[in-house]
Amino acid sequence: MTEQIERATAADERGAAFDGLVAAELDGAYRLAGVILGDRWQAEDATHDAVVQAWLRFGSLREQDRFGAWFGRILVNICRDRLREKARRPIAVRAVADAPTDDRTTAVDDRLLLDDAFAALSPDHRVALALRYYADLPVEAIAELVGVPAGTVKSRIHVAVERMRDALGADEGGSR
Amino acid sequence: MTDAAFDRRLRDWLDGRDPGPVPASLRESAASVPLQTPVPAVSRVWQAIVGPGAAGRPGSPARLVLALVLLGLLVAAVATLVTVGSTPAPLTGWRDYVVGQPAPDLDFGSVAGTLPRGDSTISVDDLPGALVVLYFPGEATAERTAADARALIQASGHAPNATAFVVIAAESAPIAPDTVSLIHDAGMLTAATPAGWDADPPIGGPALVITGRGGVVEYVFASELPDADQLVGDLDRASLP
Repeated sequence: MTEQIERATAADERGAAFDGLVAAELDGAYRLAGVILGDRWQAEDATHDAVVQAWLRFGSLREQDRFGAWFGRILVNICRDRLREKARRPIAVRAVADAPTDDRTTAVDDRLLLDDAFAALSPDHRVALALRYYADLPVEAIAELVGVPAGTVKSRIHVAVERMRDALGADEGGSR
Repeated sequence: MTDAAFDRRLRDWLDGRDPGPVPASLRESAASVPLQTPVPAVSRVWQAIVGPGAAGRPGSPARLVLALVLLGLLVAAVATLVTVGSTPAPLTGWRDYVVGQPAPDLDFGSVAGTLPRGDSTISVDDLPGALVVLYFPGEATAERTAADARALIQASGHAPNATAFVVIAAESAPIAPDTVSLIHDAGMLTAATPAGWDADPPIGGPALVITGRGGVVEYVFASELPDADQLVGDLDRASLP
């Protein structure tokens, strides 16, 4: 009986530790998933999936102070898988309906052009762009998060930025 | 446009995609994960052997060797089981479907010509590579069955490719005819439970079983079924390799 109580107590402590670590990361994870996926419901699902996967693997995490990066890697992988899955089947993508916008700096037409250009990027390029320009992570941190060399990350960001710029540039050229 | 101007426009646009603070529902569901998601026993044992101690220290080499020996024994045991073979116990109700286990090859019979012409039975094995949603109305009221059917029909419009919806009625609790016609119009199949299936134990309230593309049960819901949006989300997850 004592052993069972000790085991249950250890499990409770483990769950509480996990809860605390997840609570600190949840907001940022959900927002990043929203930016990458462009859909609040998908972002919610992806973040929840990341929490479940993290819990199932929590015992293999050796350093709890690295939980943030570890959890981020799980989330980004799930988002990337979801983008790949979405690319394989036609499904209506719901935009984030009440996302805050600032008309002083971003015209509606520009947003639509950027939306289209972003949707045309590969999942890897979308993830790289969001991590660099939304999450503001340095290249080395992105490389660690997505598990590729820094040179590959730089190349992905460069290609993604050029395509986004082309989307706006082509329109500006055409409207003149 | 200058680099700086484009950089700013890009950041503004990405900020515009930010969905805002995490919703309370997600915070609550995340907090319940450790309570509601059991860690598989194999994983627990593995983590107990090679995982970190209370202070987060890595496991010792001796523990790793022990773990590898145990893993070898486990592989040998599985290989023995596969060689010898085993016969799954007969099912007596939807409760026998267990998450993570293969859906047994069980034939559901035809109900008054509701299966495609020429087919007298259907089983999950008849739908290789498909996601299969099995809906058991059980002894639910006609209103409840109709409401569930509407959610299924709505979800079927957005489900991943090659998703089969099979509605399985008990002989003792037939589905209302107008609900059956709704289901058929949506391209779903209706089948009967095998004889004697709902006798002991009784089927009870409605249930939903989702199998992945490999025929392994991914989700089981009882009484509280997912709505159409949740169902599509579950199907998306079950569809992932």
